[in-house]
Amino acid sequence: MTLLKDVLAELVGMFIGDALLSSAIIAVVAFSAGCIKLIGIEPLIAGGVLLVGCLAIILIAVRHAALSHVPVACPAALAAADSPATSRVDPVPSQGARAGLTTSLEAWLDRRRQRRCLAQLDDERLADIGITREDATRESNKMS
Amino acid sequence: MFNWITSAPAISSAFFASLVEVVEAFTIILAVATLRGWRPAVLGTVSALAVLGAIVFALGPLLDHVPLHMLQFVVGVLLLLFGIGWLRKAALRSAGVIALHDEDAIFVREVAQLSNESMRKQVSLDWMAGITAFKAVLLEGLEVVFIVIAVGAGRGLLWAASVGALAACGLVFIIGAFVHKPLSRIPENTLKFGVGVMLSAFGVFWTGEGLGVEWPGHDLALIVFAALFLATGILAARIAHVSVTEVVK
Repeated sequence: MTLLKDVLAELVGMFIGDALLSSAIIAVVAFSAGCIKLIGIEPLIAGGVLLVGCLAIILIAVRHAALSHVPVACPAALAAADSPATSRVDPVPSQGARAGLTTSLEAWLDRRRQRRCLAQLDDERLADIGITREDATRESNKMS
Repeated sequence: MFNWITSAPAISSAFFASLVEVVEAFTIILAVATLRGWRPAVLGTVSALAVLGAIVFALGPLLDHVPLHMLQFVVGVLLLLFGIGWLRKAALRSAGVIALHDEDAIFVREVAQLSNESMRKQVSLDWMAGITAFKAVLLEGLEVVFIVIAVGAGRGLLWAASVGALAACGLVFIIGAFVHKPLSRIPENTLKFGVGVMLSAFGVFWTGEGLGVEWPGHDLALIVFAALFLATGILAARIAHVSVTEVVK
């Protein structure tokens, strides 16, 4: 049963590893198909749209991922790991008394960044900051 | 007639994609063999290869009944999803945004995990080892099967693509048998980058053909697409590197 689940997960992961990326690709394909079938545009032009759309998706997706991922050596978590006073990565940043939407948004972005960070740390680093692999996985799964 | 312009990209894509997947599977097979000897490792591997063979034999004749344009369109879209995903990940890895695949670390982790699991579940280590090898080959092999079908089915090149994949399997197992350690010196990310480029190029080509596009230069368009995806992938990696550097600063 576990094997079947793993096989299904592998098959799904092969094509929709990143839901946003997959949706963008499907949208470009649908747009190109719509141009030919619904609007009656010359197929070669729609083919060009498909090609350019896919190339643009790569640039946007990589840039987006680079900005939302922390680098391999995550500064925040490594700083936390190196500091004996910190036993856990702070789930919510203590930024003071900033009120309103900006604070919420910043807190959300920071949590998201820290969760990504956790997902990238190896077991040794996690142990340094007092977090188990299960905790880190549970926390980083909250992003999706 | 055997057309090298169409066949070479299909064979090379199948070969390099399989090389990456087989290297990953081999690391786990080797972990199994190191812990419990070659018997469970070979049994698990052969059983998984038999299941994969059965999948190919079952799917092969079915594909003949699907109209060519529909097959090209479906396979093309799947290739775009798969290929662009690989290319994105390879660009992020080469920019240092996500960690590179480390076969040595995977090997050590797999050996430790296998021992722990066997102790925890109180089951025979041979059985666990065999199942682990089976699962590794089956899961990595599924990707190989998809790539072989995807790059081969649209032009009747299933056999050519299969030969490319089998050559990669043979090469990895022969080298692996000699060096007897994880093949961590194979430039996996560079291979993945190249395969992502080729699969994405095939994806645009087949999707377009499925929609009725007649590409100028016919099969030669594949080479142009590959060049464009390669240039875009390199540019994307550069942008990612610059973005990350700015964020860190």
